[in-house]
Amino acid sequence: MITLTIKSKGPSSPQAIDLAKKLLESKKQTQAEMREFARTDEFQTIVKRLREKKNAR
Amino acid sequence: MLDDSSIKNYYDFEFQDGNDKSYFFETKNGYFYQIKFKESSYLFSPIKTISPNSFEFVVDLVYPQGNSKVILDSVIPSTVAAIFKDFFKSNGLGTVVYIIDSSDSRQSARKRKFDSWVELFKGDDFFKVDAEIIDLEKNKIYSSLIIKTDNPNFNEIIKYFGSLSSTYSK
Repeated sequence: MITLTIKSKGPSSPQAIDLAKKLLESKKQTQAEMREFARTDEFQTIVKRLREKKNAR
Repeated sequence: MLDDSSIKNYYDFEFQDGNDKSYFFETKNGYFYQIKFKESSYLFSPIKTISPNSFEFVVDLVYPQGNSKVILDSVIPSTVAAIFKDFFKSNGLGTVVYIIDSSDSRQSARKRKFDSWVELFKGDDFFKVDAEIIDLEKNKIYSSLIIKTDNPNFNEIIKYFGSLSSTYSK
């Protein structure tokens, strides 16, 4: 992995701040959807399959 | 399962395809995590060739919920790294962006955790750009972008992402 770090001394551009806000909002919404999905039967099916796979090893 | 010997000792994971690509795994302590690569064409909307392959990376403990006492587990970082690699195997042109929640001043610890996960990518196949975005209230928001080094739009992606975190000038 090659890493490049970009640091900013002052406020970022309005475009960057706007994008960061959109990303944070989207992340919050996605996490809420994921927790909701974990209450469904579909999620229980995934749990069952993962455990079957683990037990089969 | 991942055919990659560079990452060892990771939990079995299950992949669920769709507009968003989801992965699930269970830890030895019975915690279930979901990782989602959420299709997010708006991220690079000015660049039409990149836009359809843009994804937000979101990870969450989905079961049990509301559990703040999560036990440290050394297999989680290698599992996250294995999932990243699996994702890029079928999305070689993908551009993945991760944003770190800064609402409770614990963003530096979260950044260290994310960095420890992706540090497990050995070699020069991947490129990460860490960017600090500073808002008008001087809050620091950490964001990272990960792409494969052989991405044909490599220069354009890095240039655009870099321009986003540059200092505001009138």
